[in-house]
Amino acid sequence: MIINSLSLTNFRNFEKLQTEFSPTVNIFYGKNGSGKTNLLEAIFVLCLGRSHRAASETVLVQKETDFYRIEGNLSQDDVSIELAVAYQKHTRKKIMLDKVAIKTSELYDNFCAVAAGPEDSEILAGSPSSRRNFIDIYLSQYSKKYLRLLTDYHKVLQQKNAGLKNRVDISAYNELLVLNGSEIILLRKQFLDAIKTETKEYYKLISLGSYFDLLYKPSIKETENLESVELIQEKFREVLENYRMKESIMERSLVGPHLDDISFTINNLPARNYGSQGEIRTAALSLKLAVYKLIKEKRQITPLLLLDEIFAELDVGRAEGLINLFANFDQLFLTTAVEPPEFLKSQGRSFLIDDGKIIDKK
Amino acid sequence: MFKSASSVERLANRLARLPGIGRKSANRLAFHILKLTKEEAFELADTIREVKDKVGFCTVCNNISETDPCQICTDPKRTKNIICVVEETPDAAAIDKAESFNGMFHILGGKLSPLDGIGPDDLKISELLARIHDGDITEIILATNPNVEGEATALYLSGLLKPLGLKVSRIARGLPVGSDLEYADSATLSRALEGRQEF
Ligand SMILES: [Zn+2]
Repeated sequence: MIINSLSLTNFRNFEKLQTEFSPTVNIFYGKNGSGKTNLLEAIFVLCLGRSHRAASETVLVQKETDFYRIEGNLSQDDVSIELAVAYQKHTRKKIMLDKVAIKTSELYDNFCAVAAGPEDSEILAGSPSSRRNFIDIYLSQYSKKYLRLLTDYHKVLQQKNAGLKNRVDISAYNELLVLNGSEIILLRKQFLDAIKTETKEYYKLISLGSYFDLLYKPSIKETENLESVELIQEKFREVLENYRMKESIMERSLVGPHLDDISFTINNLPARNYGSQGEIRTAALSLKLAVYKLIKEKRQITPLLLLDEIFAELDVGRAEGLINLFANFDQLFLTTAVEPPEFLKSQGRSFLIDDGKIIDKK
Repeated sequence: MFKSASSVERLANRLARLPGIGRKSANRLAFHILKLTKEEAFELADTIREVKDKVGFCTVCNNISETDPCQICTDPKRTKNIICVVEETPDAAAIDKAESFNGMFHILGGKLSPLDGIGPDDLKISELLARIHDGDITEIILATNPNVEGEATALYLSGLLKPLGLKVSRIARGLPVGSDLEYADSATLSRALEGRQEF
């Protein structure tokens, strides 16, 4: 899949933008705060209907306006389509494919995108919600079933929480949480196992021999018997039963995949507490390399690649080595505050960004 | 002049409260009604009055009906000991149209949704229990919609009904997830009913 053109209205610091892209490499360069990262974000939102870094839609809307609109012309195997994502404050987000409204899940059926950037350190060193966000964004692309399960799970969860507040019988919601949640846990376990294997390799390669590891920590406090959905269901049911009293006192749901976590270690020490900034950045990048490889293999679609400032502290030789690790990418968008390396510039187009505008294209 | 304008506005306001009618269509409809002849307009008003006068709810199954009990409840050719439980009247109508079910219906009048403050007492559940208590019912088919609220309602009901010692089944999951029974085609509905599974 290739993005041929993009147009933005009121997205972050872009009031109006219209541009064509190269089918290979696109470099956005400019000062910090110029908006180059926002461009990557707009491309991500266009492909998957959500931001990879913002938690709410509202922050994507330019200040003092009340809507944003992202439109693009995309092509795959000689078929070209018009895609648009629009959001108006206080209403629902609209996604249109060739002017027909579609559901977010249909985006996931057709498009994949992997983004890497400085905010990825949060996956290792930030709060559990950034780790769940990471799994959700990429597992939704890896497994077609996942997004539907997750959406249903959260609907059930909202009903259960309302039920706990209204003091009604929540047994039916617990059972639905078990049915949806156990499949979620199983898929997360399988996905994280695959990520672990790949990330270890990449991390060893980039860090010249260091050791990375991760452990999936489901909120149901079970790390061993996660091989079959039946085993997970049994455990989840038991845990929910044990939490009944506590949940009805607290009037909210206290256990389930919405509270899952992952722990990361570097050279056998918890990355969160002991990882240096450099180690964490390298590990985060290795995670994204792993995710990119896994999605590409599983879906037989080459994900769009969005790299934000990943060369910041690297010399040209290492930068080239790193880019080559993302083997056979189709279309790449990357940002840099410094002059982009020549080997990349020569492969595609560069866009100089300043204050929400493209001021030069090459 | 002013007075007539405000009564058109009032009409538009009433119409806009109907489901699926936005402000714009409400205005268009109001002006359309304004342009009708007196006879046409009164006929419309009378039809609305007639519907409200004549049509009510069946006190047995909660179906919309001009008679009480309704035609389905009094039909001697229908099997009395199986009840198909649905959320709303159009769901029962769709299942009936599919012609693969010849038992009774029970219309809940909605679905459980704590988020909207709808609990068991807001649905015709005690009426269903009374029917089971009074009659010779052997099977209950739970045909609520295949979405989160519909599944939760079915699970809740199965918890109530199974201890009563009757067969409780759920329509098969052949229906597209998140779809409405009302809009499913007859073949899909027949398959879902035939493939129903015991809880
Ligand atoms: Zn009736």
